[in-house]
Amino acid sequence: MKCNKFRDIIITDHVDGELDEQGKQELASHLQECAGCREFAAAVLAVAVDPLRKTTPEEPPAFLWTRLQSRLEQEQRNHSGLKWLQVLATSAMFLAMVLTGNYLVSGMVGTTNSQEVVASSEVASQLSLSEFNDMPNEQVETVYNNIIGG
Amino acid sequence: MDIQSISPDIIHKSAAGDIQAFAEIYKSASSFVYNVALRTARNREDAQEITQEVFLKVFKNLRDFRFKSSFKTWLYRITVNTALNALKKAAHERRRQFAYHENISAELPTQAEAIETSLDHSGQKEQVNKMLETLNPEYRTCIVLREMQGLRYDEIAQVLQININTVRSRLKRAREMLLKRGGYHEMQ
Repeated sequence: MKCNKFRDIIITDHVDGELDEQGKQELASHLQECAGCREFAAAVLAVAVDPLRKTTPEEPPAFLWTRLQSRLEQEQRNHSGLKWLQVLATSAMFLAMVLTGNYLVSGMVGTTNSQEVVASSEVASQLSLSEFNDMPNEQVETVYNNIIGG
Repeated sequence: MDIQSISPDIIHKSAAGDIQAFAEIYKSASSFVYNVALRTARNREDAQEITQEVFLKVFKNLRDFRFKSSFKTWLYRITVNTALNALKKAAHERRRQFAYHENISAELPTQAEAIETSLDHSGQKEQVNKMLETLNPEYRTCIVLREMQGLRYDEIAQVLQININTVRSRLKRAREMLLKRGGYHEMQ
């Protein structure tokens, strides 16, 4: 294996502890005889790995939880408020639909019956329909055409 | 207490809106979330914002968590995605400001010069942050997960939902950039 292949391994699997036993042995024997790769391995650790690994983690400031807690409570209030609004809106819509449906159905039934009764009785009284009872169909048609057609 | 120790019972209670139970999740995970945010954000205020946003997202979305992946991976993913989005937003804002002040910035030191100066004069954490700032968001996230949290390649792949070889190549590229920034020039 050439140096550039070993350097790919050094900068990744080697410094990250991902090499298997065979890989470790191959690299170790190469490093023993290659000063350039030894220098590269040392530089990778010193410049690109150790400064990051040695940084001590910081604890988040205490006020962050207090701030978050009030946001969460606010979130819950909004959520439950929104849920109530949804329930109310759905109920109101359902009620409105039921009422409208009820009104339309009762209105249609009432209107149809009463209007038909009024209309037919008015027409009957105005035209004295009983007089046409004995008239043959062709004659009724002629009279109708005379009235409508002028 | 760490993220591994969060019990399913605590997760269920938190999902039902129990803020006291959620406090346990916060105690276990806030250090990780905050430190990832610190390494990706530009300053502490931004890191605090990111941390808060992550936990708000976790709280809101816990009821949809189905235990298909580990809670740790799920939380890491939300953290990384939130941090990445914040980073991209900040970069967009910087580009906008840069375009606006293009003439003025020509007189300012270049980014590399600024980094070198800061390496000489500031503390270790500042140095680390300046080093990380030179990496693009994808490389930076990989490095942070690996170096700070000590995640293995397969764990990083799971969190970022990428191939394990992509993890390897991002780490390689990131470290090569850090070497270059650190003034190391390869000799054969």
